[in-house]
Amino acid sequence: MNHLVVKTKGRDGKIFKVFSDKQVYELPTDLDNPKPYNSDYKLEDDEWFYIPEFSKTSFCIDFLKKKFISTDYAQMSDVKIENLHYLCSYQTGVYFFQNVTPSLIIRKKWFKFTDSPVLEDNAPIITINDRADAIYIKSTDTLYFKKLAAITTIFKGIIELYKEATQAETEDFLKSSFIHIENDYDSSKVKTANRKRIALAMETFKNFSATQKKTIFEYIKEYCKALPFDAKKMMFTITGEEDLKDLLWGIEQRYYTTPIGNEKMVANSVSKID
Amino acid sequence: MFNFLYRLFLTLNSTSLIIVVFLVKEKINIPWPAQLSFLPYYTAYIIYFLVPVFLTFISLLLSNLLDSDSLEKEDDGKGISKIMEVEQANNAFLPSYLGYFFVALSVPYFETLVFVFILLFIFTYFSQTLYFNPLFLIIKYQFYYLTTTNNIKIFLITKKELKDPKDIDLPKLKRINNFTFIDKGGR
Repeated sequence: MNHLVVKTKGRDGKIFKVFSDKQVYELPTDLDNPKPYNSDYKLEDDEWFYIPEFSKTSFCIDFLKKKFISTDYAQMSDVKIENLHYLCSYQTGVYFFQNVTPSLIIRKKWFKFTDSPVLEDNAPIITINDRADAIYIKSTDTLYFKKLAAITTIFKGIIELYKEATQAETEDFLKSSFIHIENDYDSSKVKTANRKRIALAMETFKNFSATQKKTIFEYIKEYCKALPFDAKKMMFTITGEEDLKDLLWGIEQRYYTTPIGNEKMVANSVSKID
Repeated sequence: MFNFLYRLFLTLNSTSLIIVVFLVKEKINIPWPAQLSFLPYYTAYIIYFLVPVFLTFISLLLSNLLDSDSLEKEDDGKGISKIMEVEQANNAFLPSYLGYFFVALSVPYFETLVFVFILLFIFTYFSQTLYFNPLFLIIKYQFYYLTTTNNIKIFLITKKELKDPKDIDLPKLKRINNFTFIDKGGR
């Protein structure tokens, strides 16, 4: 049987049952080709991020670890609408989560468009999105989601996945031997997008051998004509965010040339072909 | 709102036998028309008794309108029961019922009965877990305490005979209150 429950906000937030026997969400048909989470990856419309073995991660909530038993939860009554944290629809082994944001709550006057309409005033309603923010399939122990930001309040600590270089890491990176900074640019001026790229690039760069590094520099030089490169000192001159972005994309090998037309391109989002 | 009225109705059903016992004790007969005056006293007693039975039937029909719930076996194919412990509770209501009957038998005046009945009604209503209505037993319903695998105890009214927690599968429950559920899934 399907059940809809709500969780209230706060440290002692509780779970209440709303109603049963209703199918609130449809299971998406495009869960078969999920991608591991990467903050830099842009999902296609039919793609989902996933976390396998979710119950073993530190951000899995207790609610998902134990069995779902609807009779364990009290019926919702006297719960203030602004106190709602998220909705969860349990549908035969699949949990659909939806964060309750103010935009889902409608406080206007409304009436049901039927034969006997009654004007409702002061009766706020909650709208349900077509697509859940996160889907957890118990049998495969996998969490699927599209936007990490939407579920960070549901699964505490999941924000860790959204890796961003810290101030110290950014400073370290800018001090790398192959970077020369000009034009008063420094680590405090590096914005979030580039910090995320730094976090990734540092991982990639660490695994390169000396020859591979040389290859990468040649590759970047080839594609980023605007980025000044000193071949003797093996050094790029970075004057601002744009330069840094070009360099970081280079480290991730985002540049390519089309086989037909020979055009130089940059990939906005990349994923491995298995 | 329906839920509130339904709970009042259930409370009325489970306490109404007090009034029946009192009427029998006071030997109050139904004022039959002259043609039926040959009927013996106990005809009236049987009719008094049938009223709560009838109301209990109605309450069972109305329970279909309550919110659904379920305690079915796991959906993951393995079919593991969600119940850890089962305890029969048919006899748990006997002491309180005997209490009701003794009260009804020893109350001297009608006014006292009304007062005692109101008190019992209020307490039964607020005790929540105790919608024990022995008339359910006559209609083949049983009372059980079930403990779920998450260690939460509930009270269940069902026609099924529950014995082994591993075999318990209750896909069609109705919620009377947060602790009391009634099974509509047949035997």
